[in-house]
Order: sequence, then C-alpha cells, then structure tokens
Amino acid sequence: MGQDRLKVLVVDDEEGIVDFMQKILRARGFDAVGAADGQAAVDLYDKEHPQIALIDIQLGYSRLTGLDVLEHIRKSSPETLCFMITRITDEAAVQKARDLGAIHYLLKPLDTREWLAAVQDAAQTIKARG
Amino acid sequence: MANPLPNEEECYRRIRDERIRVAPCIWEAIDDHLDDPISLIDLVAALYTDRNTPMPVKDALLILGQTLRIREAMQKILNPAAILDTDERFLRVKRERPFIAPVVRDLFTHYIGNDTHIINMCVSFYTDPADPVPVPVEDARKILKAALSMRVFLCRLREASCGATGEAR
Repeated sequence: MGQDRLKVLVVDDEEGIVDFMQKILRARGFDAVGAADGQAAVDLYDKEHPQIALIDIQLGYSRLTGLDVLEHIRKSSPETLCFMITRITDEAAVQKARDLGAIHYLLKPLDTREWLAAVQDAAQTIKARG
Repeated sequence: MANPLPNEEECYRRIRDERIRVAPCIWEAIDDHLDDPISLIDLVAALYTDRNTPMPVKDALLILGQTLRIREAMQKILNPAAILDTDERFLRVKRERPFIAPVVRDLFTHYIGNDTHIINMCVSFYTDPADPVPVPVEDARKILKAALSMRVFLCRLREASCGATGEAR
C-alpha cells in the first residue's frame, strides 16, 4: 500500500487537533504529516509535497497565517487540493482563501464525518487524475 | 447528548421572529474558546469509535481538559462581570458586557452546559485516579454524540440569529 498512500498535510495551532486529525487519517489509510504553526507548515510542505492540505485560517501567534501557507502552496504546486478550516467569523479571510484557490471550507467546531468525507472525495479526485 | 428542550422549536421561532441577535463579541468568544475544544473532543472520540477500540485513559484525560475549557469559557461569556481585568482572552466581552436574551441564555445553558456535563461525567468516571480504566467504545460514542449536539446547536443558533455578525436580515 505504501506508495499508493496519499499524503495529507494538517495545519492547526491547536496541537491536539493536529495530532488526532493525523491519527484518524492514518487509520483511514492516508499518510499524514502535521504542523502547529505557519512556518513549520511551509517547511513541511516543501519537504513532504503532500497532495492534500487541511489548513486552519487562524494560526494563533504564528508569524505566517493560514492564508500565507495557502498562498505558498498554490505558488509551489497549484495541483495540491487545499481545504481551509474556518470559523463563522472568518468571513473576510474566507473570501481571500477563495480568491487564492482553496477548494472547500470546513467549519469549526469540526465534525469528523464531514471533514473526513471531504478528504476522501479529494482523494478520489486525485486518483481519477492518475 | 442533551435531551431536546420541550419548548425548543418555540425558542428558535422567537429568536427568528423577534430578530433576537447574539452580539458579535459573543460569537468571537465562541470561535476563540469553544470551537477548538469541541473539535478536539469530536476528533478523539471519533478516532476510537472508528477503530472500535476503547479510549486510553490519557486521551480521556485530554477530553476532560477540554470540558473544563468549555465550562470556563461559558461561565465568562454568560457572566462577563466575573471576568478578571487581567484575563486578556475575554476582555472584549468584559468591556462590552453584551446583553444576552434570556431565550439564548437558556439554550446555551441547556445545550452547551448539559452536553459538556455529560462528557465530563463520562470521562471523569473512567479517569478516576483511584481506578483509571479505558473508556468503552459505547461511551466514546456517547461523547461523540454530545460533541455533535453542541455543534448542531451552535449552527442552529447562528442560523436563527442571523449568523456571526448580528446584522439584521
């Protein structure tokens, strides 16, 4: 299964969320990597080249925001499918993420069935591309 | 999950019909202090229900910590006068002291309060220092349902009260 596993990057400033999203993704057969701040996310992206990224728009005290991470990924590899994790009050940031090409929005509080279904749909899209 | 209030539909109808709003600073505080703990509870419980294996004590303790975060945030949101001047996380709520309509307060107390209580009771039982044991899958499912119940409540309240901004339709 090794080489067929799609790699997913999880970015959230809440370390527990990063940890458990990775565990759930691994349990579902994905290869998952995670970062709890913007710069670490950019570095990890450049090193691991994941096909899917789940990025929290707000990254707390991180120097780079979730939008900065999204922008970096879109410039480096436009084919990476990016999901933004947002809150209801993130309206302006959501619009900017849309402009930058994020494909989907996952609203916090997270519902595992919902975000996992979105990732699995993205995986199907990537596999269909070949 | 919390049982539905007997007058739940009436509560939401009143919020819609009377255009009852929730102040933006309240939504901001919910975003900042409830969304992550509820998300984390959902993730931890989902991992073990998905695997169909008991939840280890260390992860149950992680959930217990999230219930305390939620409880603390709710106390401050519903009672801004009790927020200390030094607590920068809630200063906007303390400064603005927004009015919270009784019907909204009742819904918050019922859903967030009871669902947090259910989760707290469940993980407290299994993490009792005298005899800590893993949380069985059926109880992890109850935790997951309570997290979902809080999420559904917040979505429904946002919808009924015209979303995050508090603007009239």
